[in-house]
Amino acid sequence: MSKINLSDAKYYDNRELSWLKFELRVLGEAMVKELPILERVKFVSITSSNLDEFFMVRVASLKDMEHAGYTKPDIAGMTPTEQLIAINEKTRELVDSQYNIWGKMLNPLLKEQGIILYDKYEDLNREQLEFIDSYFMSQIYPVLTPMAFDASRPFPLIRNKSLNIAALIEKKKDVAGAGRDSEEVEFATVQVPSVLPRFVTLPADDKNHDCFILLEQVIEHNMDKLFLNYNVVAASPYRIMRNADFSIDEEGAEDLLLEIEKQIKSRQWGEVIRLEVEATINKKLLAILKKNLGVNEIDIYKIKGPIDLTFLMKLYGIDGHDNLRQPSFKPQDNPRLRPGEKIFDEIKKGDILLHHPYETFNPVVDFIAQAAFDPQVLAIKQTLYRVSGNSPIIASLAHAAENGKQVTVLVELKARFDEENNIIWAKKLEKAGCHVIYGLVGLKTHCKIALVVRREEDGIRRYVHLGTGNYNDSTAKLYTDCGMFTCNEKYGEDATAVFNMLSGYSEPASWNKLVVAPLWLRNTFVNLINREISHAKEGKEAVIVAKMNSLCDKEIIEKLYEASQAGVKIHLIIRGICCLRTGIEGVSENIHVTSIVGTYLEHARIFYFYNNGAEDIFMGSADWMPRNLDRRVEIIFPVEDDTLKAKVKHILDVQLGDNLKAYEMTEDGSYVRIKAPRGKKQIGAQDTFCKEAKKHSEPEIDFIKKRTFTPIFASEVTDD
Amino acid sequence: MKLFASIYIGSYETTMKVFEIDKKKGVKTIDTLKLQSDVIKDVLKFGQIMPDTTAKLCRVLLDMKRTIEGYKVDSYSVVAGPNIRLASNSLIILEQIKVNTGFTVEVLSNSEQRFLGYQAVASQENFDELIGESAVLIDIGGISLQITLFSKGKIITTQHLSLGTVSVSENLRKLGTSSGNYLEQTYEMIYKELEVFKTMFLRDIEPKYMILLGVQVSTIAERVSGFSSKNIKIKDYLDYLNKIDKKFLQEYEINHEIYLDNDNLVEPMVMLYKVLANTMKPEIVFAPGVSVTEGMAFNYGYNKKWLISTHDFDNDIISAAWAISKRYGSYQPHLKALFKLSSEIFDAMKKYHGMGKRERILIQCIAILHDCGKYISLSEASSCSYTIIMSSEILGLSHKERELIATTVEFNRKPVEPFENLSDRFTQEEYLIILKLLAILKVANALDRSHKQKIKNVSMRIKDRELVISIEANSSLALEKGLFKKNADYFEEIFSIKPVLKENVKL
Repeated sequence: MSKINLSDAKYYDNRELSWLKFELRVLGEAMVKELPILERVKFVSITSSNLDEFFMVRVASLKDMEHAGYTKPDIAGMTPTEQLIAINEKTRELVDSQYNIWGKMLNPLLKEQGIILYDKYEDLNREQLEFIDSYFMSQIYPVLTPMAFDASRPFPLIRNKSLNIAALIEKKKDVAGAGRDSEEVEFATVQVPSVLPRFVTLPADDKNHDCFILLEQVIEHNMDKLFLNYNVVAASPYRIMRNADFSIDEEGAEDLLLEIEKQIKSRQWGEVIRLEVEATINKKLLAILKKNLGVNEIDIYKIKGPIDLTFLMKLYGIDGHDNLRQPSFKPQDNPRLRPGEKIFDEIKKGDILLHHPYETFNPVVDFIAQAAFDPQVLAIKQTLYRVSGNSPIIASLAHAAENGKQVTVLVELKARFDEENNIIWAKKLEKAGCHVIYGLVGLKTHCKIALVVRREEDGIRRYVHLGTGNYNDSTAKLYTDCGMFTCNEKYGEDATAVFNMLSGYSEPASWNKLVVAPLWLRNTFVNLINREISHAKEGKEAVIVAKMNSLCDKEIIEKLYEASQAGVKIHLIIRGICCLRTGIEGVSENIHVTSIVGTYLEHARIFYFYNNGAEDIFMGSADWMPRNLDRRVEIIFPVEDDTLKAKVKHILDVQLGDNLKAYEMTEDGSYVRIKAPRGKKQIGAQDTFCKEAKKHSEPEIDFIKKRTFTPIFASEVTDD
Repeated sequence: MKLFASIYIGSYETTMKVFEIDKKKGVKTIDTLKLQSDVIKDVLKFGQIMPDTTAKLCRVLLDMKRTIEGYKVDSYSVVAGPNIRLASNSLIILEQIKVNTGFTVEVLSNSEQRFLGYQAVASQENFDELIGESAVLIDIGGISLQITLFSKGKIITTQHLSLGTVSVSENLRKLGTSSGNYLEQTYEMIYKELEVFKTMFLRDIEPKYMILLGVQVSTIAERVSGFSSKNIKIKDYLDYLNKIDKKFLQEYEINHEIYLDNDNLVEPMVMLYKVLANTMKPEIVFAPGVSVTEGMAFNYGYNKKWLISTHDFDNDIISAAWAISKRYGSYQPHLKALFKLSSEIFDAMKKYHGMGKRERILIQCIAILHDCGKYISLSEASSCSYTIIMSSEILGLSHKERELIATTVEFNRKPVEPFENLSDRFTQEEYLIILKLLAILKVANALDRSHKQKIKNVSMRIKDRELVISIEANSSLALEKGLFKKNADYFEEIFSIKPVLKENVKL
């Protein structure tokens, strides 16, 4: 047998295409009949906003590379141009099914449930028409700015991502000056104001249904009111996406960054990389748009339905109709950290694992809040990546500084799309007396770590929280993440060293527990995989289980292939991008990839290595992506407490056993839903964790002390 | 439990460490801030510290100050290494630091700096065990290498060799341009220097342990040579050192994706360590990884009685003095008698001379070293003694203290000079100490003038402004008595207390 070259491009999937497959899985949730209808609507909305971000960041970067003449193939052997063509094809498929699902499945179902979104003006009843006319004149009309385009006026500037209505207008015959050139039509455009809600609530119809109409339809219908002396020949909504991502996504082409920067400087406004129009658009109108926006034919998407489905998220949140949504799960108390508990005392008893959102994020908020007012606390240090507006953590940090604690905060300004928000509260913290570090040159700080230093009777004690998710109390309700509290001295020393490094000081001579990227992380993972390989070669059992968001680092994938060849059993639970391919003969037969798409966004990173029985478990902030391993400050920490280890293993076990929300990667690189074995009940990992969290948070009843029993009544019995 | 912070402004880096100091648990490092600086680079290149370097230094010190305040430490100390003095603008730099940060920086002398490092090592748990057999303590600096040899728990000698990381690096650089095998030549030079030390001091001692202490060792070098255990068998140690060459360092940088700062000093350091190991041939290398900052904590802890030392540092000084006196062939029985007598006079006079424990050690050293110069010249003994003392390192004494001893010894045979002549070297207080110690030495010396230790069972007490020295003698004290008056007069001049000899006739 000839030797297999593991770096051969045919063993890898392109990351963008892999991402689009993930989008398909998310969209797949919108087709799950068992889900309440509004939940399904939400998934369509999510794919829509995801796709927007994908274009602005990833597609834009590829376009830049293409313009710069960059032809270096990616991990899967595709040049930027090849990738763009493939992305285009797959995106069209995705968009088609998006609108099929919305138009043919969900919209009719909503109608059945009494939620009506009119797609034709003619369907409105008299009362509704009256309402909408007056709404237009009083609310919409004043904020509209129609703009015309002709020989004397340049083509107006169309804002990125904004929804607009294009119109062809001609002068009315009876108006002075008209008639000389009656053939001539003019182009005009008006932006659908983003200050108004995208869908307008109408008076209920005779059956008392909730009725809505989209804002652009109201405007489109009233176009003639904007151009009084003109006839509106044709009008149609459209939306453009520009390559406006001035901060280049650095992935993969750093050797060309300079070249690309030049390209960016040379263009005043981002190039249009996508034009969405309604399928029914007037040909002439489209031709004008195409010419003046300078958009390629391939980048025009004709949409069979309302453009920009992100408004469906608002629809998901309409008042009433709770029966059409999944009952919201209330994050449960961690049994060791009930409200009012002194967190530091409890941590002193032993490490604590938190599993969000099944368990509440409150202890993390309280951790900082209690530290702010604890007289024994000397210092608080924390990294903040994306925080919620009005974050209680920020308030506590400010309080702490005002109370004379030394507060050091590393704020990552480079968090995508959040820059402005971050600067505002960072300044606020500084005003309160905190020492704020605004990120590091050339590196994004992605690690999530908080350190509280206390002076206790027997000495300095450090309390550390390490997590896989951001310190954001809002997203902690939606993202599944893990966190750990510890006051183990070794972790404490490392945590101090991390913050000293983030403040610009030298790395310590050695680390006790934490593995820090970009310094040691890649090596550590490679070594851990190598260890399993050598165990497998010695005929011992060798297992790797890794859960993460994305896997696209070539070196790691190659190592995993090597491990598979050696006989290491590898289970990967990867939410999104996975450039590794399974089931290739002689390469990856021992690798199994699953992906869970559920109510909550899977976000935790957990890495398990069997290590011939002396199991090693790590958690942290890093995915196996080049950017996480090389260009960000990340922390991976070992879980060493036996109870905690068992808990983390349980999390992995339950996820691997999911046959409700899990997909499996097949040999051809596509994903299929895992089916429950015949006759067995379907089990979803997220449901299981909800149930378990509920059970654990119930207070333990000490029968001996109480001497009475607590009967359960029929009304309290739930069907499990 | 107390918290103490030390800040050390070195030639290559500025370091702050916060320590927890506890009588039972000892000294524990809580926090470390370390950043490299261009102090020595500037000094070597421009002869002074440049404004950018100063600004950066002040910024770093402010950060450190903030950290210290954050911990609410009980005390702290800020020192600078002796090399800062090499900068022509050192006074201005220190003033700028004071204005910008509020820190008053104490500049260490070379021996103070070395001693602090030594104090850190000697405070390690098993140190007395190590030196109980035999050990060499190695302190590699930028310009010189200090070797201290211990045997049976006592210091045998402390020697400075002009081999430092910077000097070797310079040597390599110079040779590198003119010669092909510059590495071999440099090795040869280091070997030769160390061979001299070996033949002169290691004659009958084979040190079992080699203890490494590094002050100007850069962070990365520490890491490169960092072993997980503090005790390393010599073979493993040499194997590791042999691996480290330019190529290894380059690969290390690439593999670890870091940049080694001061990497031009790593090579000379490795060379020095290698030659030291090959020459001394110890069985075990002990690298506790401590330096001046730890020493500052121990020093402060001992002084404030936050800590009790397991190692007797005073004894180090005395045994080093004895080793010097032996080396220069002083007549030991006389010295022993003088050592005892001067200590007794010092103790009896305690209420009247107002000196403390530290001066007691000084008088003991003075007694031990007072005629070491005779080894060179009997007639020029006093100035020879001065020279010997000034060029012998005594671990534990500051440079000033050594000078004080040397001057006192010098005045023992020479007329005492007025303060004006010495004011460039000593403060008034120090000058007075010299006079007082000299007075004690003179009386003690008079009691054993014949060097025959005739006096037995001495007792001393103060009565009516008289220091009554009661003695028993086993032979005629004619010589002692005859000379006693002159020395006793000087004593009275200084203390207004008259020494009186009272002979108890043996019945």
